[in-house]
Amino acid sequence: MSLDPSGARQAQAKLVTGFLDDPDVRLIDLGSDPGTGRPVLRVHVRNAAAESRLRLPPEIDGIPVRVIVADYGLER
Amino acid sequence: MRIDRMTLAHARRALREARHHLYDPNVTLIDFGHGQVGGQCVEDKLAIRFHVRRKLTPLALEAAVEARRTADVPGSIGGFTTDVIQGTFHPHRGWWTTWSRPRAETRADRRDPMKGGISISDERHNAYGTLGGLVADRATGARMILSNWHVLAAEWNARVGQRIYQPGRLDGGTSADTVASLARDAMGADLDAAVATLNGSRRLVAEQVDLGAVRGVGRAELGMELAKSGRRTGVTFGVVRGVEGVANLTYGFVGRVIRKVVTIEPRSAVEEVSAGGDSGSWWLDRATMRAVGLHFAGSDSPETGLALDMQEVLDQLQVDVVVGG
Repeated sequence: MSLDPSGARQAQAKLVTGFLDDPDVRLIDLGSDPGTGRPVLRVHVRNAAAESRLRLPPEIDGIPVRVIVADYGLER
Repeated sequence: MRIDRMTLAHARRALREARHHLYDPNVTLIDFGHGQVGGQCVEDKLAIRFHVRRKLTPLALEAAVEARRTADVPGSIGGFTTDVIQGTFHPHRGWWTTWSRPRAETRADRRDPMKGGISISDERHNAYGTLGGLVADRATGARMILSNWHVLAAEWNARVGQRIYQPGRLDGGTSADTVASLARDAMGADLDAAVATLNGSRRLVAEQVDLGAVRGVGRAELGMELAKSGRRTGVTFGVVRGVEGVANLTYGFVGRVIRKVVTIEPRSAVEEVSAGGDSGSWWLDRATMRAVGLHFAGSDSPETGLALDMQEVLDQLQVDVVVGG
């Protein structure tokens, strides 16, 4: 499945500018809603507490924002 | 007794928590199965089971732990009780194997020829990552290894020419196992990738261990099913669930932005995607065997792998994937 490249990436860029500097935010990517297949913006945060603290918008430019709790590390 | 998928998923996490005990020379196997009471299997009791060469008396165990010859096994791991079972395991060899058949090569061994999916490290770190695969310099045609920056360089002050060992140092590699030297990296372009020029001491073929030949390069797309061959977890499978990611990860004590990240999740709750030691492995589109991602990071909970967009990596490093025959 391909995403609408321009719209989703512009919305993602807004999230990156606003939130990637936060120490609890690990990754911001583009995914799709498993039910509808529509594009979603995904913000991966280190812990559940960050989700409420960050006050992420529910959507940007009409694209829903989803939060995933996961902490990533290098795999050497 | 049937074990449901959720229980299996929890057991798999518990086994991951427990596996550092395998460094204990007295531990021969850690698995998940029926627990024992009084030496008898109890079917309705599931446990994380530590198989040991010799089960020690409480007094001997205390002394051995104090002398750091062994480690105490906790009473429970990940919500499962633990059992310590005495037993030594031997390979099940057929009669013909006793006189002529060599043991199977592992990914931790010195390999000749080399393939993607085996142990590798730089000369300075007692570690291992994965030799990703074979690429060629766009300008000179020189044959190179493509892996991660944190596998081939691993230090901000790493110098061009730094030696690369196969197997990696943590798998016993030494200077006698030098196969390449660090050429350049893509950290300046926010990509955890690097290439090392082969020195000709051993051949690297355009294949992945247990997966076969690499057929080219492609782009990861949502829902695409992938496979990789890595030093730590071998061949595993996953599905692309995120693309165009921008990550903020910690390298040592330094936070770094990494871009063009592909997020890979397991096909089912019980499957493993990757683990420490798989960094540098290549994710291939299962349908075409084209390389679409360079693995570099992951999470155990939830089980997820992160890779870099392969075409972007190749363009930044000015190399091309060598296609297998």
